[in-house]
Amino acid sequence: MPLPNQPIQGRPASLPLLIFLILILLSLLSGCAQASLSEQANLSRPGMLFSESAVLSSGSSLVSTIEPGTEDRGSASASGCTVCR
Amino acid sequence: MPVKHAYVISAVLVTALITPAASSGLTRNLDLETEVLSTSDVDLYTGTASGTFSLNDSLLLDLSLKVARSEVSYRPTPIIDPFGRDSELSDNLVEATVSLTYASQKSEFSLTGTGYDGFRSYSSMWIDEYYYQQYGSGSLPGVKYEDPDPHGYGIDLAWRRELIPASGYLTLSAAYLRDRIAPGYEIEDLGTSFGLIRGETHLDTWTAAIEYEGVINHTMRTRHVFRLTDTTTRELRKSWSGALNISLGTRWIARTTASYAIENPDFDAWSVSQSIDYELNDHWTISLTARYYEDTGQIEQANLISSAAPALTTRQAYLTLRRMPPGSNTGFSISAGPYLTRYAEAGIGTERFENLYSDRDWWWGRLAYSHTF
Repeated sequence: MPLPNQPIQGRPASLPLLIFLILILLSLLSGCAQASLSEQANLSRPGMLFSESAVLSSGSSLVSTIEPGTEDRGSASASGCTVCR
Repeated sequence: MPVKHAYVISAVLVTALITPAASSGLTRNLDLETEVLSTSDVDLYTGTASGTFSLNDSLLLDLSLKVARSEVSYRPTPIIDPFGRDSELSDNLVEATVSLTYASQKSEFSLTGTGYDGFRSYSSMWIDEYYYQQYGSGSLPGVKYEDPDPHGYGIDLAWRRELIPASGYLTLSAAYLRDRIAPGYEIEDLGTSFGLIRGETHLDTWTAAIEYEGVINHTMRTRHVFRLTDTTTRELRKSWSGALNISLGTRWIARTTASYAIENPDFDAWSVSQSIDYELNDHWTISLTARYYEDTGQIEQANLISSAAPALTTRQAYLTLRRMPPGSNTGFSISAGPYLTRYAEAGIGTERFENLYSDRDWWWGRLAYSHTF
């Protein structure tokens, strides 16, 4: 027989202040500058680009199937966990 | 063994996609990618082939085909499930994506359709096997266990605008996804008897995102994505991800990414990663990446049994070697490193999935190849 329901004793995720401040700083750093032709050469080096090329990509599609908070297909997937939201 | 499967998958995809594409004369570029994630009782591998084709001066067609295989050694929790038996599970997922992009001088419109068939995660296979062993005999009143047929499709509309010449880009996108999932089961007290009931079989998801990519100065490039996601029976999820690339001289580049997601009533997740690239010469670059992820565990509303994952912490580190000569039309990269997953203790009602949500030490690797015509 199944056991009666009890709330999941999940470990609360701490959000270290330092990480939070870095995230805020990154948001504030959203760039609106225009790069000159000479600057574009430096900014166009392969490692500086946000490219969808498989060679330059740094994400992992397999890791995102394990981490429920990692963005993949708009954060929604067929999880099989139909008794959880 | 997983690597062997991954190469076989890639070879099939190469034959299926590259051969006709290369002879068409319309091909702009082709990407191939193979990824492996392996531990003692779970092996996951994928192969992806994608290509971009010019239909005319302003119309692009992107095609992508992904094949993934999961092999899992299912182990029940003996104390909770004494009649459960070990089982070797495997499944193949096939996913196809077609995207049409219209590009004008400063804007791009794209329409993308996606369809897949198969389990999207090994945990779904594990949970379904549990339900099969518990209720597959059909001896309980109520609904009957049904063989799962997970599949889904989605449509995505995106608009990208160059706000600042060669420097600032804004992208707005919206998508709808529909997933047919392997349902969960519960035994419900009907008053005078107990009956088996089935959980949700379909999930509908609406999502919208706004993305900005810009240049801060001559050494820094940044990108931010804000996303809202609404899925059946769940509260609205709000997420942000950001990235910052910094050129630290002629050979060094630092790349930082971070993300945060929150969903009521009490789910939140965040991650941060840091990469350091060193350009050995014009052809070769070596990169070291470290990544950390943490969440509070999936939100559950079970009456009897919950399959919701407890709180999770992961750590990943990997080394990447990339060859991309200037002016060359080919490039490739190889990455490898450990990936560690650590779960909080399973609660009452979830301990039957104790072996699913156990700590694991994985090895992750990826091989990627790109060719521009």
